[in-house]
Order: sequence, then C-alpha cells, then structure tokens
Amino acid sequence: MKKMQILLILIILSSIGVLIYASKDLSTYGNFQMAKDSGVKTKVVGVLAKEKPMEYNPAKDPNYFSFFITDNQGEVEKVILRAAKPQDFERSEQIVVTGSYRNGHFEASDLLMKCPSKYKDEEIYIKSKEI
Amino acid sequence: MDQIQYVGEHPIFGLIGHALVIGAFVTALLSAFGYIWSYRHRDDAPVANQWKQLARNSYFVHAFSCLSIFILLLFMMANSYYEYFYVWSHVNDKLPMQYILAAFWEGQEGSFLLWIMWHSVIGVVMIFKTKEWESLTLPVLCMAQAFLLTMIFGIHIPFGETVTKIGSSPFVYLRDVMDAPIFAKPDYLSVIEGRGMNVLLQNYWMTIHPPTLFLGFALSTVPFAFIVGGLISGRHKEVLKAVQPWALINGAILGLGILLGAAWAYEALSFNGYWAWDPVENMSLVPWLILIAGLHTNIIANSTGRSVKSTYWFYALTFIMVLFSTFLTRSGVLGDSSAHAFTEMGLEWQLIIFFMSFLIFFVILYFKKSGSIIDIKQEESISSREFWMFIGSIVLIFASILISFTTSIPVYNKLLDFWGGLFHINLTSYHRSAPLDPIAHYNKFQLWTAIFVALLSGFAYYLRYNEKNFSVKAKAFLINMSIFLALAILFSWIATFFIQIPSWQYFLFFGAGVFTFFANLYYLIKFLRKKPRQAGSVIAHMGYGLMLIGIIGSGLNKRFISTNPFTQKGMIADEDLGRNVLLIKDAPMTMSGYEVTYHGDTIFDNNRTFNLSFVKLDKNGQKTEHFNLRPNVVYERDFSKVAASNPSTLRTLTKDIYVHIASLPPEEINAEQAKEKEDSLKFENYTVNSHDTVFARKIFIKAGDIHLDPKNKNYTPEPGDIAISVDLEVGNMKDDTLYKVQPMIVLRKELLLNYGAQINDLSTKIELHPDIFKPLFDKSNVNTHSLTLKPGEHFEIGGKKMIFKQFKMADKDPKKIIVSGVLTDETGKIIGNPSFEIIGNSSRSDKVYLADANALIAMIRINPDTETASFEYNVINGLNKNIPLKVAENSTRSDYIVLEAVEFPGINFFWLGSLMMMVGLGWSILPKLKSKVKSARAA
Repeated sequence: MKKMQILLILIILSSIGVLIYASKDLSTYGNFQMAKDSGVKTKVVGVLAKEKPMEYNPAKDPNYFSFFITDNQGEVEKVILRAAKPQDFERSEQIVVTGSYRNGHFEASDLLMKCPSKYKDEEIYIKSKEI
Repeated sequence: MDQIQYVGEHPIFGLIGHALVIGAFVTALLSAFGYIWSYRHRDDAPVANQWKQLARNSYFVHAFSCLSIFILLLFMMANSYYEYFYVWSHVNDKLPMQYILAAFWEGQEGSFLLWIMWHSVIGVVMIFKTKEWESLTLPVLCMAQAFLLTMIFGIHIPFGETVTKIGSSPFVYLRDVMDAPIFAKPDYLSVIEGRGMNVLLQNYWMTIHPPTLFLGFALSTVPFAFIVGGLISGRHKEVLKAVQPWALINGAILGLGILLGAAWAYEALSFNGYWAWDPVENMSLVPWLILIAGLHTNIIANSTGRSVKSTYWFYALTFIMVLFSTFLTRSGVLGDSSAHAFTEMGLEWQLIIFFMSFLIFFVILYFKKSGSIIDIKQEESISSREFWMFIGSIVLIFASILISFTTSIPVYNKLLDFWGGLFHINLTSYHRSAPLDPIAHYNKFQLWTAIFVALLSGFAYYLRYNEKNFSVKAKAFLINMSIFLALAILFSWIATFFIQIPSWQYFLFFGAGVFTFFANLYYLIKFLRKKPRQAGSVIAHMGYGLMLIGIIGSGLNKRFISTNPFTQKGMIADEDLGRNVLLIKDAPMTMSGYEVTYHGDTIFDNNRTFNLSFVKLDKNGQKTEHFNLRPNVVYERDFSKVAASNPSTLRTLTKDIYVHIASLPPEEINAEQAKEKEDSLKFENYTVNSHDTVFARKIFIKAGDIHLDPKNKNYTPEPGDIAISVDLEVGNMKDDTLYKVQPMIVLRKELLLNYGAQINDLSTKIELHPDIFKPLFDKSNVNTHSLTLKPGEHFEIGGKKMIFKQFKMADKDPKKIIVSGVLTDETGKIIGNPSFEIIGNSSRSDKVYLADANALIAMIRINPDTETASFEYNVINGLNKNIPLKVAENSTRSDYIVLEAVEFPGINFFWLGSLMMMVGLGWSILPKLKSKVKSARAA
C-alpha cells in the first residue's frame, strides 16, 4: 500500500472519530421539566409569558433581567438573565434560553430570540398630511 | 368588478423589467447552447466560429439585459415608485440617497440581482481573457446565470390545490402582494409611503460588504467552469495552469468579503467581536477554506503533475458549497440558530434543485471523464514539499467538514422531518440543536487545524518539490527549523508578560503563529529579496501567522472592563459577573483602572451621541491616559424607539477599547414606555408656605423664595409669559443631604408649561400646581413704590414690618457679580432675597414675591458710596404665601446609561495579518501576468 493511501485511510478514520466526538456537543431542545430533572445546562425553547411581570431596572442592577417563559410543554417558569435587557425583547416570537436551574428559577447564560421581520404587521404607511 | 384605473403608476417599468428577466434567461441558455455547439464542431473551424459568434452575441445581449435590470430597479428605487412591492419594502421618503445601493441589496431579490450582475460582468471578462477555454467555460457560467435568473422569475403555477412558486420577482405590484382597502382609491399612490429600509443596516458597511462578498461568490463559478472544461476536453495540465490566476483572485476577493463582514460586526454592530461562529459566517468561510485547499493542490499539480483529481474536487466543492450556503442562509432553515439569516421566502425547493443540479452534474461528469487523468505511479517522497502541501490542504478540508457538520444541524432536522413525513412518523424528538456553547465547540476543534496549518506553512517552504535526495539538505533544514522553533518559544514566553495564554493548547497555537511568521519572513529575506514578484504566498503565510497571534490577543484576552467593582464576588458565578455597568451622569465610576464619566449627550437628526471620558490614573494620582469615546444610539426616524446602538472604539497600536450603550432608561428606549412612566407617576398635592416646611411621605420640602422672573435652561422666555418658580430644598428623613431644586411653571396665554424638578437620589418629582396662578387673576395693585435702605434699617410694606438685614455676595462667578439683599421679618426670619446682577455694563434685578406682604420686591440699584440699596415694590392682591405643589415620590431617575466596555488587546495583529493574507493572494497573480507578457512577446 502506498503511503498516501494509508494516510488517507487514517485521515478518514480520524475524521469519523472526531465527528462522533463533536456530535456529543450537539444538544437537544429541552423544556423546563427536563432542566429541573437533570440539573445540568439545557436549552429551552419557549415564548415570552406576556401576562407575567418582566423586571429590568438598570438603576438598581444593570445586569439583572428577569422574565417568564412558557415552554413548549406549557410550563411557565421564571428566567433570570444577568445582562442588559435585549432590545425589542417584547416583540420576540420565540426565545431560546440556555442555562440551568438554580434556587427555584432558570438561570440563563445565553439567550437567542427570534424576532419577526422588521414590520410583521404589514400595513401600508400613509403619509402624514402636513408637508 | 371593473378594473380600477390607477393614477401615477409607472407600469412600463415593470413590463420592461419582466421582459428583461425573460430575455436574460433566454439569451443565457442560447449562449450556453451556442458555445456547446461551437465546441462540438471544433474540428470544422468555420461552423465552430459561426456558433461561437452566435454564442458571444447572445452573451453580450444577456450581459446587457442583466445590467439593465440592475439599473432599472435602482432607478425605480431612487425615484420611489412605491407601486412596486420591492421598492416599497426597501425605500421610503426618509432614506438618505447614499444608502440607495444598500437598500437595493437589502432584500433577497436585490442580492440575487447583485450576484447576477457580477456574473454577467465576469462573463465579459472571460470572453476576452480565457482564449481557447471560452467555449468550454462560458456554458457553465451561463447555466449558473440561468438558475439565478429563475430565482427572480416570480412565476406562480397552480398545481392542484397548491401553488408552486418559481422565484420572486422584484417587479411585482404592491397592490398584488398586499390586500388593503386603500387600493380601492385610484390615487392611492399620492398618499402612501414606503416601508423602507431597516435603520440598523443604514451604514456604509452595508454598501461595501455585500458587493465584495457576492463578487467572491460569483468568482467561484469561474474555477468550477474551468475544471468542467478541463474534464470535458481532457486537457488537464493546461486547464490547471489557466485556472490558477482566477482562483487566486477568487480567494482574495472572497476573503476580503468575509473580512469586511467581520469588520462590520466588530466596528458597527454590538456583537462583541469580529467572529462568533455564527452559521451565516461559517457558511461563507467554508467555501473559502476549500478554495484555499484547492489552490494549494493546484500549485502541486502545476509543479509536479500530482493532485490533479483533488484540485478538481476542491474547486467543484468550493462552488457547490457557495450554492449550499446560499440555500442555508436564504431558505429560512437557519432561523433558529443564527442571529442574521434571511427569512423564509418559499423558495427552499428551488434552492435545493439549484445546488443539487450542479452537484449531480459534476459527479456524473467526473466519473465519466476522470479516466483521462494520469496518476503518477511513483510515490511522492515524505520529505517533498508537495507531500506536506497536500497534507495541509487535507487539514483545510477537514476543518471545513467539521464546520459544515455542526452548522448543518438544522438541515438534519429538516431531513428527519421530511423522511418522517413520508412514513407518517413524528421524528421531532430526534431533533438536535446547535452546541450549548458554539464558540467553545468550534474553537476546540479549529484550534488544532489552525496549529497544523501554521506549522506546515512554515516548514514546507524549506522542502523541495520532487525531493529525491533529502539527506544533503537535512542538516540545513533542521538548523533552520530549530532557530524558528526557538524564536517561537522565546516570543510566546515574552507574550505571556502582556497577555494571558490560558492553556498549553493555546500556547502551542500562539507559538505556531510565531513560527510560521519567522519561517516565512526568513524565506522572504533569504530567497525572494531579488524576486519580489514571487513574494505573494510568503506574505500571505506571514499574515496567517500574525492573524493567529492576533486571535490569542483579541479573542482569548478580550476582557469586559465594564465590571462593577461593588458587585460581590462569589455571590454569583464568575461567568455571570455583570458585563454592564451603570453610569450616572457626571458621577465618575472606576472600572478596571479607568475612571469613566458620562458627561451628557447630544442629539443630531435621529442620532443620540453620548459623551464619555476615560481617565487612567497611576499610583500617585497622575493622569497616564485620557481619552473620550462617543457611542451613539439611532432612533427610528419618528423617534418611536431605539433602532440601533452603535459602538465607539478607541484604536491604539496595542489594543482597542470598545464601548456600546447596552441599555438606557426605559422611557428613553421607546415612546410607549415614556408615556407609561408619565402615567405611572403618583402625584399627590401638598401646600407649603414660603420659608416653611412640609412633610410628604418619605421626604420633606422646605420652601424658599417665590420668583416671578425665573430662569431655567430649558425655558426660553416670551413677552407676556407669567413664570413662577420656587426655591425648594428637599431632603429625606434618613440623612442630612439637602437637594436644591427650582420647579417652575409658566402661563403662556392659555398654555401651561410645567418644568418639574426631578430629584434622582430621592426618586422624586416635584411640580408646581397650576392653582398657583389663581390669585393673580384677582384685581391687583399696580402702584410702584420706591425705597432706599441701609443694611439694618427697618421698613414697612402693606402694614408688615420688616428689616433689610444685610447685603450678601453670591459665590464667585468670573462673568458676573451677584449681590442679594437679605430681608427678614421682625423676628429675624428670612422672608426674601431679591438679587441684583451686574454683567459687564448691564444689570438686572430679580423680582421676589414677599408672601407676608403680598408684594413683589426688587433691588434695583446699589450705591457703594453710601452703602445703600434702592428697592422698588408693588403690593398685589396676588400670590398667596401658600404654594401648591404636586409631588410624586415614585419617579425613578433617568439620567444614566448602561455601558458595556470591552478591551481587545492585539487586535491589530488580527487585522494586519488577515489583510496580508488577502494581499498575498492577490500578489501571487503578478508572476502569472509576467509570464503571460513573456509568452505574448515570444509569439
């Protein structure tokens, strides 16, 4: 066998190995119950529970933002993000929070929100009459 | 229903647009056909030439049509033809003209058009530059054009109950896309306004980044076209010579496009860095990596005749990955996992057919035609340059596979759903999502590919092609390598004094960067000093080394300096330690060695710029560093809300300091919340006597003088105004601090202007109640009386006895002299301090209301010789000594910003290095140009 062929086989084998190893990093979308049961870092998909209070008072703590999320099982849970409140948060359609349970709330380390495209409510803008 | 005759529309533009798209499509096919026929008749020159002429002419018509579509749409946008949906979506009356190009490619249709436009220009260049390859390469380009043009067809074919959509046209009418009652009006155009472009994208980056990136994408068609030509003709050696300059340009431009994206993310967007392994970023990087792998195997092929097959595959994959990345970013598949993917457009299947067609075409062609590629039987020596260059290319491919593997997760989910759908099984529980910490995930693997590539690109230069007898070179090689290795260790060790290198892996990474930098630098000096034209690749590899050094500096040593020193460590996990800090106006805050002060803000148009100063003090309190930063926020043009927050960066040679406004008081973020706050204030009414005190819930208010001619920086007096202000001192029961405020109210004809006073530290807002004006409208006495008094003298107004106690000089003010007269009642209690101001040659008196006497008094003159003062007063049936107040004790402060500040050490190494890579790629074309000139002369 040629050196190059041996090398290629080695490379293919190691790529398969590395890909299997890499695939362990892939996570699944979970819900609050799973996060509670496992106690480890989980990714939860949900929507903002708009009827529940949202708290961000930068004058008190600029790195404390709490809100409630309804996950895909319908469970509502308090989420704390230790960062500034993201812009247009109220308009998000879907929120993905990564984090784990701590002292009765979900402590988010990362938040990704899906916002509707620029102007979801497609309306025709009427020029103001005054010129 | 009768057809409405609309007024003011420009239907001819849409018609021409549609016709041009169809025309461009047909001429692309015709040109491809002509070229293929010309090639088929290559043995019969006259016939071949006729076909070629037809193909060329068709292509010129095609290119002209494509450019016309581009210019037509641009013209329609520049003239705001809102009857067209695309124009309406991306332009409005307020869009500044300099962003018209940015608006053009903001949408999917426009960016496809940009791609088409570049393709058509590249095709013209190819006709003139590819010589004998013209008939073999142009058909591929034309087919790519035909596919791209279908993306802007906008044909809807009813298919049973569903409608199949082919492409999305930029020439459809707004009234055909949307249903609104306004379209019943024939003159609807005169009243509507465009929806317009996203304010976030209105910047010059959006003008330069997409065209560069799309030129890079469009150029990747050329190497693909060449290798297709090579496979068909079987002239592998020649094609690989001809394709190399194109691949080099492709690499330089595509790389530059990616870098501009990184610079945009770093410079203008608040992404906290230049690279975040976002799917959209990854999918532009992958084609570039494969292209670079292809370039290296191409060089091997040109030098040794090996690696021909790999080169074919790598160039093909580059193009196919460009198409795949187009599918990923434009189909909406990435919606969940990327911060900046396009939204769904209903064209997924069309995009899949697009890239699958080219993939299948290539695979079939390859297996039919690759038999003619001659494999060199003899093995390459392990000490040859080509062996290690090939290994390097494989490492790059390996890196691309890993990046694509994780980035494509959403595709696996869609595939699962697709198969599940076929068998009616719900497979959503098998869905996977992107890694919890994507940056760590990608870094973990790419760290190693980067190290390998760096080491290889360092030592491979010191090996020879087709090495047969390494032993004679071995000693020199080993000495060289030991020196570079020693330099790498030395510099990495020195670096640890300036930056942190967190683990041995990163130490290796840094060292590999230094190693390749010196290896290439020495090569440049020693071997290429006299041949600067050939320095391209060495420059690129030196750049690569510098880039790795820059990544350790700016990526790993990126430090949030906006941490609050008062947050207690240990209470929350370190990773959660606040990245943002609250800055109250004019209150200096110490963070990470800097004293940062927020001085205020200025508004220009819809931009609000914040003034920040950073001062670094040494142990002795001496200023060692002082700079100002001005981050800004951009409001929507109607000020309804904040649209974007733009960072500001201090650039120095060794580090950047980057700040951006992470948040503002809610009422300053959007108009809705401002109103909410106004509504939420709980005002309660109190009355306080002048020079008396009243207690509210948590605070007490001491009233001083009442002024009838007050000054307030927000108030511009107009004749006839009645303005009242009251000096108040406010405190709470807890501490001794007294806050002096001067709420003010103005009656301007029938309009009330209320200038309330906000005391942030007490969360209190105090306004004067409009009732304060009531007594004024009783009949008043207008007779004016005069008095001249010495300090200590007694006098009487309206039966009340009072004393002019003394003069009082106000605090020194260089511009003016202020003297006030202290008036007391018989018990010595102060009842008024009318003041007299001298500013240059003029003077002004302040009228003070004496509540006890119901009189207004002013000190109009001071005579220093006799030490007397002249007063004027009139008794009015006016103001009561009762001052009605409105007090809200839940008014939170709004004079702050929430700031995020990041330090990026060594970032200039990253920019310099990455730029050198692209310059090096471009530079590498020089020797090719020279050899062409030579061969032209020889002929």
